[in-house]
Amino acid sequence: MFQYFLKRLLALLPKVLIITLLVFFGLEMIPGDAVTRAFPPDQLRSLTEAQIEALRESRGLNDPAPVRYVRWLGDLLRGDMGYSTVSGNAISDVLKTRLPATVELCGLALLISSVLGILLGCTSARHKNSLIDYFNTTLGILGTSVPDFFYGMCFIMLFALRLKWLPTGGRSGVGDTGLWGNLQYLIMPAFCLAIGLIAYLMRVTRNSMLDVMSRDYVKTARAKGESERVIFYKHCFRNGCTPVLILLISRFSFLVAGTTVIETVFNYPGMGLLLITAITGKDMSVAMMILLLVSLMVLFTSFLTDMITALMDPRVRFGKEDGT
Amino acid sequence: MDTKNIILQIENLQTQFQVGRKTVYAVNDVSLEVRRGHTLGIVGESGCGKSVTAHSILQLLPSNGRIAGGHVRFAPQPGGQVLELEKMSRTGREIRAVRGQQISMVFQDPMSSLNPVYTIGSQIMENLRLHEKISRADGKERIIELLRQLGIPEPEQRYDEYPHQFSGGMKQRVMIAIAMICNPSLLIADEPTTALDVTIQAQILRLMRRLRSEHGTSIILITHNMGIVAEACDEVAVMYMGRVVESGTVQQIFSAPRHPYTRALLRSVPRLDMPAGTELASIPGNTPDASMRFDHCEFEPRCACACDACRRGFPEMYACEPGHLVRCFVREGESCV
Repeated sequence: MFQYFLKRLLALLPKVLIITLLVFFGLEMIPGDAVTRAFPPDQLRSLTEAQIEALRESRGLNDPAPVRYVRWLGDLLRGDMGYSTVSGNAISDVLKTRLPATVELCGLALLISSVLGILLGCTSARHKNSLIDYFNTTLGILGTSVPDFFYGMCFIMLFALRLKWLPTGGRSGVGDTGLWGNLQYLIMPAFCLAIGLIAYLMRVTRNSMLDVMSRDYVKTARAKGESERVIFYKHCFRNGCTPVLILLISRFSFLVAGTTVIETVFNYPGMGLLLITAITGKDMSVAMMILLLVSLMVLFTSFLTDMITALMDPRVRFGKEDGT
Repeated sequence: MDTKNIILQIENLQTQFQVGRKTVYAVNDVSLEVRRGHTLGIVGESGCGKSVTAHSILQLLPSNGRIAGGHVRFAPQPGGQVLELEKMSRTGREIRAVRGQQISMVFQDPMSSLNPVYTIGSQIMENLRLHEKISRADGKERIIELLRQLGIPEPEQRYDEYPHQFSGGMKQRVMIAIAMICNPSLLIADEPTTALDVTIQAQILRLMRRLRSEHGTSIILITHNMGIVAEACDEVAVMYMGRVVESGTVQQIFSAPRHPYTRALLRSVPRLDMPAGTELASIPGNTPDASMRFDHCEFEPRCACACDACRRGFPEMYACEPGHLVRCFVREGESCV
């Protein structure tokens, strides 16, 4: 298992390097160079052309690209992401408030969707072709086919404007309020973000459970005299939820992508909203940095997927990857 | 019911499946008796209903299948009470107490019959602790002892291993261990050796024979292999299209088969004393679709000795000698192939 863990971890490295390379060359193609990007714009204006050239030389900006790439990587590792081309703020400072906001949003959405999706999927599978199953399937179709921003607007109209239970959007300040204070801003966007995933997970769980329920070892368990409830949760669920879990984590990137729309609808100050404003405002250095972070996040979740699969399946856990 | 000699009696069993709007008549009319301490073989082609009959006994049918008629009577103890298994709810407490404790099953494919995420030991323990109040430590001791009896080397280590670490033959031994751990009075083996290679087949059959002699377990052995029947069974029932067409002792069936289908089956078994180059005999035609309903003998279209009577109705079972029953219009002495 430890070997497997190491192997997977090492396999991450080249992928990370390729992503940073892409981002680096993306940044290279943006008009202006590292000097103009290394200083806040107002400071830059006070410098003469000669001073800038001297700075370029002293900072090694006239060095060949590979050298600069390695240096840029070093800066990144130290947390120096450069400055926004538009506002002049340090990107790391901006992200410091935005990143946790998005992580909270995605985390809650993931929690909601996995709990509801798997629960609904299991009830559908247990009562296949019953009224409950048809009802769930209908909900599932609605969930996948109606875009999430539409639900967002409906929720705002209903819960914020009409019922006045929840704020229309935004986010409480740091250390402002307790759990509920934060939660009341999170709950609507997180639920909207989760709807698509709930529907998807429900379908996947239902199919996976139905597949497992027809396996021979379920018949064996029944022949032992085990009750239907134990058969479902002990024998079926344990096997059926492995593919669901993998799909759940692999869908995490969709969730992150969904934040761009949802955060815009709810005016929620996270990375998604930041990305949209950065792109519409041509703030390329910020946009690139967000893309880098998001890609790394996706990579990390795929690594997590492998690890969880391994932990759940004894065939992988004991290093017999080819299976039988 | 003669509970002293008979442990299980199936009477006019009918089992049907609902496939879309079609009803499939898998078992039309099966009557069988399993004698205490004996092995009954059920033979027939694929799709003749032998597996469905076996699954009907414990109501282990898929959700679209149901017992439409007949009786399954089970007498665990000689002179004791008779349980009517077909009347029990298929998920209820009553039948679950019978499953795995008094009647257990071994299935065809050991590769897929064990749950891949639990250890062998815990899967046997599950059966044991469902039916007996026994501590985990005592249970483990008993399981290891049984695994050793079943010829699994180093049972202490293998107890904590997972199914994928076992070979096919070893998995089937584990399945037998699951079936035998509560000392059932009846073991139903549904083609237990079909998925295994020939040397392993012989070992498993020998094992089952030993279990019967040591524990006095009655066995129903389902197979399509006449060789296995001759080797392992005391009585045989030959099935065709959801009906028993001939039944009797192994001696009776093999030395004097009466039904044209049984004769054809026996003729199609390859033998070592055949001259080289002899073409193997086969039965012409295919088994008809099980959703078809016949108004006369189902074997008539493929039968070499079909006569007018065969096209007019169903033959009844008759005893051609004590204990030897045949369902055919062609009686003894009449000319037939």
